[in-house]
Amino acid sequence: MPKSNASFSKKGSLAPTMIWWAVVAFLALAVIYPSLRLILNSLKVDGGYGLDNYITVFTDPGMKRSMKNSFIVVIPATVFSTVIGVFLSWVVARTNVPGIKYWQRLLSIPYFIPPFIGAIAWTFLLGPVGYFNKLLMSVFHLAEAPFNIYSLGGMIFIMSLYRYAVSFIVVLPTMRRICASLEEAARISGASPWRTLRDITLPLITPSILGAMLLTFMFILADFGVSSVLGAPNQIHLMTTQIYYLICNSSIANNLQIASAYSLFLSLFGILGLWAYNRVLHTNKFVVVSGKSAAVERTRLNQPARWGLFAFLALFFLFTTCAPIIATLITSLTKTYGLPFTAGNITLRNFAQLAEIRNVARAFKNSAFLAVGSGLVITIVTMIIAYIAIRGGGRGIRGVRFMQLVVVLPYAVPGVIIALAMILAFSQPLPLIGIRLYNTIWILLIAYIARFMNLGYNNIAGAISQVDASLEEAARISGASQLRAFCDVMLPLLKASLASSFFLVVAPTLSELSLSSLLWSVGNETIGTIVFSAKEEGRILLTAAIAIVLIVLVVLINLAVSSQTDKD
Amino acid sequence: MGKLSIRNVSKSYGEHTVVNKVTIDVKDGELLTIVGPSGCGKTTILRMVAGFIEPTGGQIYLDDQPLVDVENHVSPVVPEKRGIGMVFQSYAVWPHMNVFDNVAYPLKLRKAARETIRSEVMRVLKVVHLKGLEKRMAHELSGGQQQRVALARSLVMKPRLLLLDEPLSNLDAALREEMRGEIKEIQRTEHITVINVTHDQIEAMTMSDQVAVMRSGVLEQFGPPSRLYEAPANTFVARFIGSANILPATKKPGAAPDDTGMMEILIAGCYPLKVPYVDSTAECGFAAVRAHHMAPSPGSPLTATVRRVLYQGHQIEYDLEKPGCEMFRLLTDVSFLRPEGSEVSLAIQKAVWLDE
Repeated sequence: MPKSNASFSKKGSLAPTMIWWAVVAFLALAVIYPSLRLILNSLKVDGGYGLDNYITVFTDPGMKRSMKNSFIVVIPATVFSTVIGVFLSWVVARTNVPGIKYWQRLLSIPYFIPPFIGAIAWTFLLGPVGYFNKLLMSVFHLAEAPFNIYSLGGMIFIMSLYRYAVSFIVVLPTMRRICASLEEAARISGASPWRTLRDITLPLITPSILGAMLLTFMFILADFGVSSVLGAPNQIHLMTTQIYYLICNSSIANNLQIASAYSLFLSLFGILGLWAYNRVLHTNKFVVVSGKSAAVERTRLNQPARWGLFAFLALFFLFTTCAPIIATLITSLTKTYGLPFTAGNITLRNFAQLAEIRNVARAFKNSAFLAVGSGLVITIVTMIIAYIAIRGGGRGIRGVRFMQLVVVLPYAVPGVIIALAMILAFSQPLPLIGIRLYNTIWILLIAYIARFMNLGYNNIAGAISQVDASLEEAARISGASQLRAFCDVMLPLLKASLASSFFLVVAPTLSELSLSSLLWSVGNETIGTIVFSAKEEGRILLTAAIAIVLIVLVVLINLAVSSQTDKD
Repeated sequence: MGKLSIRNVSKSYGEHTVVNKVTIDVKDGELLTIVGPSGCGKTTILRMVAGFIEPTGGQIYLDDQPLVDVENHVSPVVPEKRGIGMVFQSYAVWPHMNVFDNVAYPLKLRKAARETIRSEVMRVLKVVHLKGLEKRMAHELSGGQQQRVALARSLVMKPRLLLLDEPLSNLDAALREEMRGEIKEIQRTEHITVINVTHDQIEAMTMSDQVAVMRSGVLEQFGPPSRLYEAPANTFVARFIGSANILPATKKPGAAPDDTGMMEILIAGCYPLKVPYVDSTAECGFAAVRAHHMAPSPGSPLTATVRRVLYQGHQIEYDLEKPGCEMFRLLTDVSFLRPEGSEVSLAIQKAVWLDE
């Protein structure tokens, strides 16, 4: 008996080991090798190695200005986003404002819309000839447009409007989960509702707010789309766009080396943010222990306050979400930008062009391929890593922790930096294999996969850790091999989560901009780069039409995902 | 100080009535337990007294001051102005404060002097046996200790009334017994009125001066534990308190009390017995018989079949079956041993007549 047992276990463990090493090899190619090239490159100076590139980064006046600009934008935008998001989540979770069921969905919409599309949409309202500006000029008889969206202030405004949704989505569940009896205990001890909010509720949700704030900070710091759409006309650079222009501007000596140094400096903030975020998550000792206590009692507002709040939400939604989309829609339907929106000026020509212009049609095809391709690869790879990290952790497979980090890091770092690392790694033919990935669609695919793995990983890791280990153990004891038990028990249970992993990746990849704008080539355009270049070339109507199609696609996918997760 | 009067209190959510015209009076310094199966409305009553739920009808008075009076349009006093202490089922110990700050909070709100706060908090922490743990945070405490914090916090402001919302249900059996005794002790020494809500009938019997038994929002019986046990109002109370056997019974129309206040009934169609007189016109009803008021008695007309034997060491519990009756229990000493399927004849020493 012992003999047959040993051979049995040997046979059973071979396949998982091979799968694991395949995943490790893939991660090495997609993340580790490019990262090493980036670090190495930042230290390269003429004929040797040194810190000269870093010195340039911190002394060049243009670069110092971009650092300053970044902080002028990032800090207020983070604060505004968080304040708006926390307030709205309180309203939706804890008051009896009319229409609560719908507000959660409606107020999350900005989370799904790519911010650079939002920025473009807002230029139709607050650009020099935007609808709002024209309206205000005619009402108040102004000679000049009162608002200039192509400014640092414009960036703060747009980023706050689209990134508040991060804190809204993060804080909402915590607001809901606060055990009502904690607040009731304060009331019965003699605290007024206001005092209860100050002494009990706010301190309890502080860790969650802090976490949301750090996430928002990382998102905004990594932003490329908004700052390039709004900064380009007036040559205003933030750190990300500064790196982009450095990479594109080959007339500067050592441009890629300096960009690498700058990238590593910028990554530091993303990595610090991620580290702080994890600390907040893990040291969160205010776990709200809830027995089977009463459901959360909503603050009962009086009738005027209820409808006042309702009016506020409605106005906020109309102004921040509907208005720019409507402006884009109107623009996409007019014959010439700036004409009044009357029956005679309406046309569908702009949408027809999408299919007619060769590179536009190709971009849609390419983006669809990249989205589905990266969605599939990420879903499978992250499932394997998450499974091994969660289930095999005790059995001591080496390097699981490190691989987890490899999956998470690219998401914490601005996309421009990933793109630069890809350029450095793949512009030359690969050693040993001799294939050159640069200028092909495959470099985009690898970059997308590296960047968005984290989304799939978090989703699937959450799902796997909820499945009790004994379910598979029961299959093993019934005679199934490890692989067989996984396929027969785990896979069917994970089906819904795998689908949502796939769509979680597909939605942002469809509208990806920061990676694509550096890695695209003729024939390998993506929707993001096409919108961007159409805007740069001043083809406003075409830009609006693509933006509308993209918004519809992304919102539909996200609605499908959220209704799926609601069911679970 | 601490006389609570609940009069005709109702609570409905639209068509659905969860508490239906309940009237309960609690005297100063008494411990009342509201007991009933889950969903019977007991917690709703407690939360109406605390002020977290507004009744849709009736009045609640504390020391002759209205807390809420729907019929006379007295708008409800907000919870923080009621001066009531409450221990929640989940304890609700604030996780961002240590033990001392948790307990001191009610006094801080009342703007007590720092020295007073310090000495009062220390006093109640001693009462609940938590001295020395002032600096601990909630997550460093066991369930039993968290409960003591919650208790100390509700006692520190010397409330007129203390509400306990199933405070012992999350504790293990040994700790529960210990806390029962301590709560009773604190109630006596601090001289406060207590309302305790539970679904545990043993807790209700052992702790309380008065017990209110609820079912589906209706008060089934209200009285001291001994009366509930000796004279249950109906089969529900008889079953719920002390799990009595319920057997069908009949009595003659117009049965009158004899000179000892007893009347004769016929249990299970075969066993005549004198039971305490009840003034009712019903001819068909039930007899509630405690398991230990039944004994094996050869030759008795009441026979049943043994369906299950549970040997408990100091006694044996038999589940018995008789056609026309529901399954009932018999407790005997270990010398009376019968296998499953055998017939036993029984005598009944004591029973109570119930109309329904």
